[in-house]
Amino acid sequence: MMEEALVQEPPTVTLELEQRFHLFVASHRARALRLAWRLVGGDDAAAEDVIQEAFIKAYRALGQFREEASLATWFYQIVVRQAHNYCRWRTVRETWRALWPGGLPHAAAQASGDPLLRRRIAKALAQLSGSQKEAFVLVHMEGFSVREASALMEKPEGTVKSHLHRALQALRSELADLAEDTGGNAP
Amino acid sequence: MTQPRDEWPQLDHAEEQFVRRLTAHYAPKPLTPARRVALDEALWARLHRQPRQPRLTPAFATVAVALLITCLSWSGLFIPPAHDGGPRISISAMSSTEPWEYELLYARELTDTAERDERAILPDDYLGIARVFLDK
Repeated sequence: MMEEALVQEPPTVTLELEQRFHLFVASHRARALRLAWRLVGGDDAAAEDVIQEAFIKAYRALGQFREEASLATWFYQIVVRQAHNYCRWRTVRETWRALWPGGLPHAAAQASGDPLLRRRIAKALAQLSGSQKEAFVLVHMEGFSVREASALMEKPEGTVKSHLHRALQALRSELADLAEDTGGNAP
Repeated sequence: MTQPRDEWPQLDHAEEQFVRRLTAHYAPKPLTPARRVALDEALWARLHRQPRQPRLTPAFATVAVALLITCLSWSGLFIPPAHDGGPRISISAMSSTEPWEYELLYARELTDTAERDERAILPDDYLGIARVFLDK
């Protein structure tokens, strides 16, 4: 009887973990994908790659986190870090592409809204520093609080606030027409 | 994740409108059921393709260093440092030495003692011979 219980235990634990992981993926997939998409500059394939990598890490660490909230914080921290690393590598790839005509193809984005305006916003965001972009996307676009963004970016709250202020000023200056437009033509 | 004490930055009306417009225009298409299934399948495929491996980097590093030293030793490029604990026999000191003087020199090098201490380590007959032949 005892032996049977011991034999039965690992699959039960694995099943429980897998069920928990399924629930975790279902509840965070959409937000994580949107966050990654905005951080990597509107590239669908890159955003999917970033969140897959983050989910794989979350799956492996699932047993270490008893609370869903701490796992979620940790998971979004990985998403932000993975996106950051992706952007750094993209800079290298783009430099290479400039040296090697006809090299890597540009990723096609599947997004809503005006494609031209979307490209302008992506370009304006890309001109910000990495931390400014992360702070702006996390707080203003994704609705994380300053405290949460501070935890995800692993930076003090004061620094995050400063990044937010500078990012907003820079974007309003770069996209002045959008700032003045009060027509509200959002899709 | 959100706690009651958390805060959001205060924006004026124009800033708020700007951020709202930006957010609306800069968003991916919502996930369709088909794309969601494809995403999940890709995730599970990756999860099962990458089984958790023990970290073997330190072991690989040790083996690599051992192989490198072995290869260098075989090729003669790497000579391990000589053992420094034992006495050294100076070859240059022996170059002009007659064979019969070897015993005295060897004894001195071995014990690293001064000439005046030879009396303490050599038998009397040796000292007698040394006195005759080496003018000591």
